[in-house]
Amino acid sequence: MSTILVIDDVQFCRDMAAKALGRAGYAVVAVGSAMEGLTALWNQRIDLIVLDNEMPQMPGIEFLRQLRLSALWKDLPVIMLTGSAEREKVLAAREFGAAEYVLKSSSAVGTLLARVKKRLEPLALPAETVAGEPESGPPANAGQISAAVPTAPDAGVAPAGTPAAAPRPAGSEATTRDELFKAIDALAGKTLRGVVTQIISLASSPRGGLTDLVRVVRQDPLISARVFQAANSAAFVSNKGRVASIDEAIRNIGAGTVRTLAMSIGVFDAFPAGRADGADLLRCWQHAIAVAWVMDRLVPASPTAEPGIAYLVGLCHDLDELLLRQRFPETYATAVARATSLGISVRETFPDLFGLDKAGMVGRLLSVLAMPDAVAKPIQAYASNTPAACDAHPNPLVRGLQVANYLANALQLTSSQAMIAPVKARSLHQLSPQSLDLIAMRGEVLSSMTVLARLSPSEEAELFTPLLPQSPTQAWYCRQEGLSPTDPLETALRMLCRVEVHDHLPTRRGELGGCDTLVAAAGQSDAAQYAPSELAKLCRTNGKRCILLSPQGGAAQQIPGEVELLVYPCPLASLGGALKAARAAAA
Amino acid sequence: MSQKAAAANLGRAGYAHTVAANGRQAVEAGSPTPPAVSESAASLANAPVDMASLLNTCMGDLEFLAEVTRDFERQARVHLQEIEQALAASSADDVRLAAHSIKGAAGYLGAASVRAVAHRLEELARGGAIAGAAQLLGELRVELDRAVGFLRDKAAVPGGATGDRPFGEKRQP
Repeated sequence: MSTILVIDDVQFCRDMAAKALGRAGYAVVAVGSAMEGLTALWNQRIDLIVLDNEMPQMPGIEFLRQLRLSALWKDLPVIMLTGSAEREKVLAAREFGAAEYVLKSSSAVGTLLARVKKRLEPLALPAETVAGEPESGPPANAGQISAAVPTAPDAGVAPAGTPAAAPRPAGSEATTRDELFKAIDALAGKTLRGVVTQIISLASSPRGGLTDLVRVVRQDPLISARVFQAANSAAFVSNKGRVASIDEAIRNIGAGTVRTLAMSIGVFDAFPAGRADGADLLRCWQHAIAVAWVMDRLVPASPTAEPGIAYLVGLCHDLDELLLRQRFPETYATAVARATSLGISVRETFPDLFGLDKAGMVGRLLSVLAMPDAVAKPIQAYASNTPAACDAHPNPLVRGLQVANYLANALQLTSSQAMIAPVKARSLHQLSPQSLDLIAMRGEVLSSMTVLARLSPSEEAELFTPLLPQSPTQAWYCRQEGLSPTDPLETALRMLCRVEVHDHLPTRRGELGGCDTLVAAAGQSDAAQYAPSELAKLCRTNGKRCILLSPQGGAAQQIPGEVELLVYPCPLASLGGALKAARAAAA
Repeated sequence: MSQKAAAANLGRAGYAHTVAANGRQAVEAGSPTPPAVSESAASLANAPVDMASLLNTCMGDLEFLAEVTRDFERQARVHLQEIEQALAASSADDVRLAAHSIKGAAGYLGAASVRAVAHRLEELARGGAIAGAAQLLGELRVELDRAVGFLRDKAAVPGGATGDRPFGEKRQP
């Protein structure tokens, strides 16, 4: 059954429209303000809005304008039902894509029902039937003369941001550079909303008072509704109780959370993950939010990285992949398949398949989106450098991005083919890894996704299920000196099995004890300490197998049968597979 | 703004539109000759509520009409009380909001004279002045009594939603 949202501040008018629509067989949600309307939109599927204009806090036209800024609701049919047909209001409604404009009069309800009926089927029918229904049926009430054919918002000029290139048919492998440029340039105008920029600077400024922040947040109904929702979410309610005002909500969740919320909404709205895009795209978002979360805590504020910049760098670092997945799903699937079979990262396939490397893509994308240099530069540096070069990069934002990526991948917030690696202690220079609470982060990222993408319970369940199951394997994990205890490899192991962490290899016979396998992470490729032949000897003594993780670039060595060598960065799934094999051998 | 001007605005913006006078005639925007108003329509114009359209709105369902009548009466009483309180507190803004609500509801019912007085009160309060508001409130009570009396009669609603007290009668403290 179609659900209609009625927004009118006058209770009698609201009730009358709701009752009439209810009698005609529609499900109706009736609210008294634009703000409540937004909350309703977030909380349930709405098929059409009946909107009054003259409302005290926010006029209907302004609500409509804000609605069209969001990719989620830019095409939602809206029928204006108002007391005034002043020229400028009617023209504004038209400009923001109101499908119909009905004057409140004694015949308004009849007219409204006829106009609604043209767009929505009141009875429960499959969506396809409704969409395919011709719009030219006669109006239900007699005596009406239609002067002009009403134009649905989606039939007009293509809204800003409509991608220029359609997805390629299955079977075609490569996407040309021109097609890619067209898709990127079509995003022009999707800059972060002014309000988002203001919130970032206010929440970041040491002088920015709460009063100013409240004032700015109030200007944007989308962000207000989300702040409200966040403050009343289970996590915050358990600490502070339910809140009833925006002021209270902002005070409870804090300026920092308001800032990150505003940024996520701003960027997510430019690249929404629709239901049709499936779980892959949602995971891509999940990865972006996870990296943003780690960056926010890992990179301390400094003159080159104001608060909020690190979060934004994390959030936007993979926008090119989001675009490729959305616009060129077939080519992207080819890229993933090629990367998996060759054991390389997906981005290494881009020059061949898209005619442009990751740095080129993301650079153009960020400039089209008008991102400041403070955000664009570190992302480009990360995209154009090898992992080893990123590890040693002088800009903490670049090194942070590398670590945050590995951590998000290790927490299974990306894909099973995502790369992981331990990080060198010196890569964390000027960073603050001690403030990371990774388990809390995993929960926060997942609940952010549920709210941002308005997931159904089944989609939520799919997203929450770990990519790789945890096994009862017990691992002795030995990390070589020079590697940081903020360790994506350890995090990955903890997600996959049970781990004992040591700074040395077992020295006595039987010391491996109840462990099924030995996992050794070498910081340098030529480390004599972890010579494969020595490890093999250790394995034979203890009757176990060993997994050796060694960085790229080591001299080729003979690897004995007891040792499985993984060259890092390596896919998460390879580590999972090696653990499984080791347990099988131990049994 | 005249109905014709409103229709012209809608037409220019590309919307389908209908202009109905007492629910009897419909005219297209920009029509060179206004429709002749028939005698029956003219006599109906004296009625406080546009009954033909209202019945159309209620899909001919008298039960729904009775429900609408009761809702209207109940809401009108709430808003009248709000206006009284706002006048006592000299709050022009609250007068405006309550008058706006009555105007909106009356528009829906085609209660033209109630709508007109409520609109005047709303505009007066919008300017921040409440000097002449008491007199307009009096007029509003009279028009509400007429409209609700007429509606009760047509919808066969026995008494008011909150008793049979007329709008002109002030609530006892």
